[in-house]
Amino acid sequence: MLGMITGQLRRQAVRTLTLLLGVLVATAGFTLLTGSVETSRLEVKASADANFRAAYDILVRPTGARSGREASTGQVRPNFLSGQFGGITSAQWRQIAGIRGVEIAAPVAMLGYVQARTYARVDVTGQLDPTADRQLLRLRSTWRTDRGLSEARDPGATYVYVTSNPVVLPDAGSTRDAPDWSRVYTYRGRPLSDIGLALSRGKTVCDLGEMPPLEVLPGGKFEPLCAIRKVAGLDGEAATDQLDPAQRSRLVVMQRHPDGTFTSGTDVHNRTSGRHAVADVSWPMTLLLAAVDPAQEARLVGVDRAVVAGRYLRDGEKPVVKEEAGSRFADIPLVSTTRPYLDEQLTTTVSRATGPLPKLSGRGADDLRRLLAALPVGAGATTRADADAVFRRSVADGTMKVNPFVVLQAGSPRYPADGSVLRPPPVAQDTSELWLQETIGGDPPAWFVQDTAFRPVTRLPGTEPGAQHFPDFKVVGTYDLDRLTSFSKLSEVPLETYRPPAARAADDASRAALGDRALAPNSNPGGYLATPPQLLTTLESVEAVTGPDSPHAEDPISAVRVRVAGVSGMDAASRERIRKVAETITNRTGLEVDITAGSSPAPQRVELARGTFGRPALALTENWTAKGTAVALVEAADRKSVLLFGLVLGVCAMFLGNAVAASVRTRQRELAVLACTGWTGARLAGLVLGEVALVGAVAGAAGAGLSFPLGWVFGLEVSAGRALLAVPLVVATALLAGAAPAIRAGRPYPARALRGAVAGPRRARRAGRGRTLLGLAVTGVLRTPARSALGALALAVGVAAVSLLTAIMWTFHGTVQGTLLGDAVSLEVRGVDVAAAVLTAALGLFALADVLYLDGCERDGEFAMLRACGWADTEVMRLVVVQGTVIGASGALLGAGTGLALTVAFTGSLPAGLPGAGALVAAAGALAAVASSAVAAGLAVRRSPAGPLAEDG
Amino acid sequence: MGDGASVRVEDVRKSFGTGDGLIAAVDGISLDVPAGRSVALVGASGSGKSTLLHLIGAIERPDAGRVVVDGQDVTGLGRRAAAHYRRTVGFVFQRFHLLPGLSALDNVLAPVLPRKAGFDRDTRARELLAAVGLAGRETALPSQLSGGQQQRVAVARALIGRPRLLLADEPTGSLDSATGEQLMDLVSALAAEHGCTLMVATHDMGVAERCADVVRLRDGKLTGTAIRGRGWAGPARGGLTGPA
Repeated sequence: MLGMITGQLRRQAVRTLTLLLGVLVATAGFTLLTGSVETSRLEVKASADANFRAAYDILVRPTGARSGREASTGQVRPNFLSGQFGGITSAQWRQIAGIRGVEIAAPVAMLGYVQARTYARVDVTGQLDPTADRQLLRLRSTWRTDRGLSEARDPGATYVYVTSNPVVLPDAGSTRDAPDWSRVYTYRGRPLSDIGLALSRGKTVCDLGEMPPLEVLPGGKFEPLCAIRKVAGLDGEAATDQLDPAQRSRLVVMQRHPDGTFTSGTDVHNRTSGRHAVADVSWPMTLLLAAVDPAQEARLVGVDRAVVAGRYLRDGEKPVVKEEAGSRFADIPLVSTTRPYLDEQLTTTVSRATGPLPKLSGRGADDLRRLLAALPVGAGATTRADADAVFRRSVADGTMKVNPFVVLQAGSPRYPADGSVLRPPPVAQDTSELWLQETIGGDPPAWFVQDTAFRPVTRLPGTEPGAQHFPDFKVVGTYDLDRLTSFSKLSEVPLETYRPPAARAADDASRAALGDRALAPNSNPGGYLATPPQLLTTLESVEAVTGPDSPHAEDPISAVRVRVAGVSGMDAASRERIRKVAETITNRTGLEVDITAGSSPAPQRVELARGTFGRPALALTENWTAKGTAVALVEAADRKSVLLFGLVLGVCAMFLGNAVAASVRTRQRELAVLACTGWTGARLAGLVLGEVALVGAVAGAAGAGLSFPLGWVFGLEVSAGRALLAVPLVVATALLAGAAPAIRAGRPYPARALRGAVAGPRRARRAGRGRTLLGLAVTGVLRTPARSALGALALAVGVAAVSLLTAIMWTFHGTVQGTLLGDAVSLEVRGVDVAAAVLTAALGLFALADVLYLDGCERDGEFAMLRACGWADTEVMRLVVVQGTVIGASGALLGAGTGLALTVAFTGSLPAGLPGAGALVAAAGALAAVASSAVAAGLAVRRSPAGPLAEDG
Repeated sequence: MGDGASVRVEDVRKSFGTGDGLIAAVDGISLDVPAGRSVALVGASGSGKSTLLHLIGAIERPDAGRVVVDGQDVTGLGRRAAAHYRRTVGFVFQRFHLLPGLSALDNVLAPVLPRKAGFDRDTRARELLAAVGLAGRETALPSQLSGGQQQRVAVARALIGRPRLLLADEPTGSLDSATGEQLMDLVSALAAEHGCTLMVATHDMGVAERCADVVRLRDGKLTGTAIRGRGWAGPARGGLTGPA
C-alpha cells in the first residue's frame, strides 16, 4: 500500500510537487500567521499597557453628572469638569479616601469664573510734546480673540493727563482700618484736612467716597481730578452695570517733573516714577477658580513641585477672616498658573489731543467724560500686547488682582442628538445682570463676555450685590502647568485637570479662517471652550468664596479623582483591583463612578455657530475621551485572532480538498482498474487518504521548518511548539479535506470509469448558449458545477479573508473609533493584518488557478479539437480566461458578501462605507482571478494538440 | 464547390521520445495526393497513420522533410499561421471530441465561433446537420446522441469552415461495422460533394476500399500504394496520379 502511495506520488511528480508547494505555503503561512497574531496581540497589549494609566484610575462624580451623550456613547468632552459645580460632600470624599485600596483621593471643587485685573503697560513717552505744560493723550483699545476672527473696539478710552503742575495722591490705606479723611491728602508735609473732609461728606464735584488725585494749580489752589466713571456709593446706591460703555473709560493722572521724570498712580502707596511715561491699560481676564486638597493634589499631579514663585497652598489652609462693622473680610489664599491660556490680544492706539487743553480739574465725572470725549485728537500710534505676556508680568510683579465680588458658574453645552457631528446651540444670557456690581473699585469685565454663549452662565448668590461679604484673594504663589506630572497623550482623560483645551479646524474653510491654529478659550465664561482652572485655592476656602448661601454649601466638591494602589498595567489583577475599588465606592456613596483607566482621547467633530464679534461658523475637532479604550482594544485583538485561525484553516482545507478531488477525478480509470482487481472501497479510500496524508505530513513538516527563517526575516516570533503543532494540524486538515473525495474514490463504478466517458449534462441547456465566447465559457463552468464551485469557493475564502480583515480592522478601529490609542495600535497591527489577508487571498487564487489548470487538463481533448479546427492559441486562452473570470467573479462576490455578513455577525453592525470597501475588494479579487486564469490558460495551450487527439498510432 | 487541395509530403520524419529512447512514428515518408482525391492510410496500430495526418494538418511539426499543401509549405508555419491554415482543413476524430455541454448545432458551429465567417453560419450548420441526417436533432446534446450520430455531428463540424482538405483519423473506430460503413459512405459522399481532398487513416480495409487510393504504412514507413483498379505500386514514393 505504502509502495503504491509513494509510487503514485512519484509518477505524478509535477502534480505532487504542486500539492506539496501549496500545502507548504499554507503551513508556513499558518504558522507565521498564528505567530503574528500573537505578536500583534502582544503589541496591542503592550501599547494598551503603556498607555493604560492616566492621572487617576477612577473618577467619582455626583449622581446625575453623566450627560445623555456620555451615557449613550461612553465619550466625555474635554474639561467637562469645568462645568461641574458641587454635588459631593466632604464626608463622602473622606469616605472614599478611607476605602481600602485607595492610594489617592483628590477632590476638586469647581467654584466658578472670577475676574482678574491685569494691566497692559503702554509707553506713551514718544507721543508727548516735551514743550507742553499740560497735555492729554487718548488710548483706544481694540480686543481680538478667536485667532483674530473676533474683534471688538472697546467703547471706553484711557485718558492720560500729563501735567507739570504738582499732583497730590491720596493715602487710601489710611481709611481701611480706621478711616481718617482729614489725613488722606498731604502736601509738602501739611495735611489737607479740609479737602479730605469735604470729599468724605460729598461736598465736592466728585462722587461720594471717591479719593481723586489733586492738581495743584498755579496760585496754590488744589482741585480734584475726578474719576470719569461712576463709582458706586458706599451707602447702597444702585448697582453698576460694568458693561455700560460710560463705565469703561478712566483717567490716568501723570505729573511731569522738571527733571523730565514722570510720576503716576492712584495712591501714595501705589505710584510709579521713571523716565518713561507709562500708562496702564486695564485688561480684565476671566479665570476659572477651583478648590482642591493641597496634599492630595500634590500627590496626584505634583502641583507643589510645579510652583515657580511664592509658595504652594498649605494643607488645610483657611482664609484669614476679619469681622468688621457687621461685614466679613476674608483673605483667600490662591495659587495661580503662570499663564492664563487665553487667546486674547490688545491693540492700543495712542493719540494726542490737539488744540488748547481746557482745565480738567474741578469737573464732575459726567462733565469731565463728555469734555474728554469731545476733544479733537491727532493721528495715533499703535502698540500690541498678548494676554499671556501681560498676565505673566502682572502675576510676577504682583499687580494682578482678582475681583472677589462676581463669581459665575458656567454649565455644559447642550448637544441635540442629530448624528455624529455635534452642533451645540447658542444660549441666551443677560450679561448686564450677570456683571452687575455694587462695590468700590469694581473693574469692568472683558468686553468679550458679551460674545455668543454656548454654556449657560449663572451667578453665585453668595456674591450677589448687597451681601455683606467681602472676600479678597491673595495670590501666594504661581505654578507652571508644564511642570505638572505628565501622562501619555494617548490615554489622557478630561481631568488631566490642567490641560488647556484646543479645538482644531475640521475642514478647509475653518482651517483657512483659523490660520491653521487651534481655537482656544477666551474670557467669555459662556464660550464653547472651557478652560482648566487657572486659580487654585483650598477646600477650606470654599465658603469664603461662595458665601454661606451657595446651593452647594454642603456639597461643594465636583469630583474625586482616585488612584488605586497596586495598579501596574492592564493585567487582570490590576483591572480587578480597580474594579473592586470602584464597586466599593459605588456601594458606599451611591455616587456615579467611572473607571477612567484605559481611556483614550477620541477626536469629535463639533460645528460652532458664528460669534457675535465677527467669528464665522467653524467646524472643529475636539479631543473628547472614550472610556475603556484599552480594554476594548485587547478584546478586539483577541476576537481577531480567533477569526484569523479559522480563516487560515479554511483556506488550507479548501486548497487540499480541491487538490484531492481533482486527483481522484483524474485517476478514475486507475481506481476502477484496482476495483476490478478486487480492491475494496475502504482500501481505495485509504489509498487516496494515504497519499494526501503523506503530502500533508511532508509539506507540513517542511512548512513548519520554513516558518523559522521566514519568521526571522519578517521579525515574527515563531515558537517551536506552534510550528510542531502545525504539522498534525495540517495532516488532520488534509485528511478532513480529502475525506469526501476519498469516499467517492471508494465507491467507483468500474465499468463506467473504464469506458472513460465524461458525464455530460443531465438535461438540455438553452440552445445557442455556446455561440459566444462567454456562452461557451459559462457552459464550461456549468458542465462541472462542483469543480467550478470549488474554484469559486477557494477564491471566495480568499476574498472573504481580505474583506473580513478589512472589516475587522475597520471595526477594530471603530471599537475605539478615532481614539488616539486606537489609532496608534491599529497602525501597529495593520502590517500583520495585511500580510495575513494577502497570504489567504494568494492561497485562494492559487487554488483557483489549480482548479482551472486541472479543468484544462481534463478538457485537453476539447481544446485540442478546437485548435485542430483552426482556433488560435489566443482564442483558446481567451476561453479559459473568460471561464476563470466567471468563476472568479462569482467567488469574489461571494467572498465579499460573506466577509460583510461575517462582519455583521461578529460586530452586530455594518460600519458605513464598508459595503463600498467590500465592492472594491471584490473587484480586486475578480481582477486577480483574471490574472490567475491567464496562467492556467497559458498552461492549457502549452502542449501540442496532437497528443490528446491521437487515438491510434 | 472547390477542387480540393493537393498534398505533397516530402521525406517527412517524426519521432517521439519514450522511456526507452526515440521511436520514429513517421520515417521518411513521401507522398503526392492530387487535389480532390480520396486516400486511405492503412496500417496496424503504431504504423504512423495518425501522425502523418497530424503532420499534414499542421497539428504536429515534422523533425525533417516538409509538407506542401496547395503549394504552401505548412511545416514551418508559426502558431498563428498554423491555426489560420487549419481553418482550411476539416478534422474528424475517432472519439468525436464533441463539446458535451453544447447542442449538436452549437458543436457544428464551434470551429467558427471565435470569428466572423463569410457565410451565414447558422444556416450552413443546419444544412450540414441535415446533410449528415440529423435534421431535427439540432438541440440534442452529445450525451443524447448515439455514437454514430455523434460522429455525424463531428463530420458536419469538420465541414463548417468549407475545408479543401478533410482529414479523418479512424472515423469509424468507435462505431460498429454497419454504422461505420454508413458513416464512411457519408464522409466520402460529402467530401466529393464539397470538393474536398479526403485523407482517412484507418486499419479497416472495408473503410479503405471506399477511397480511391490506399497508402499502406508500417512502422512509420510507406510500404505500398494502390490506386483503385491498378493494384499496388512500389514503396519508394507514393505517387497517386491515377483517376479519382
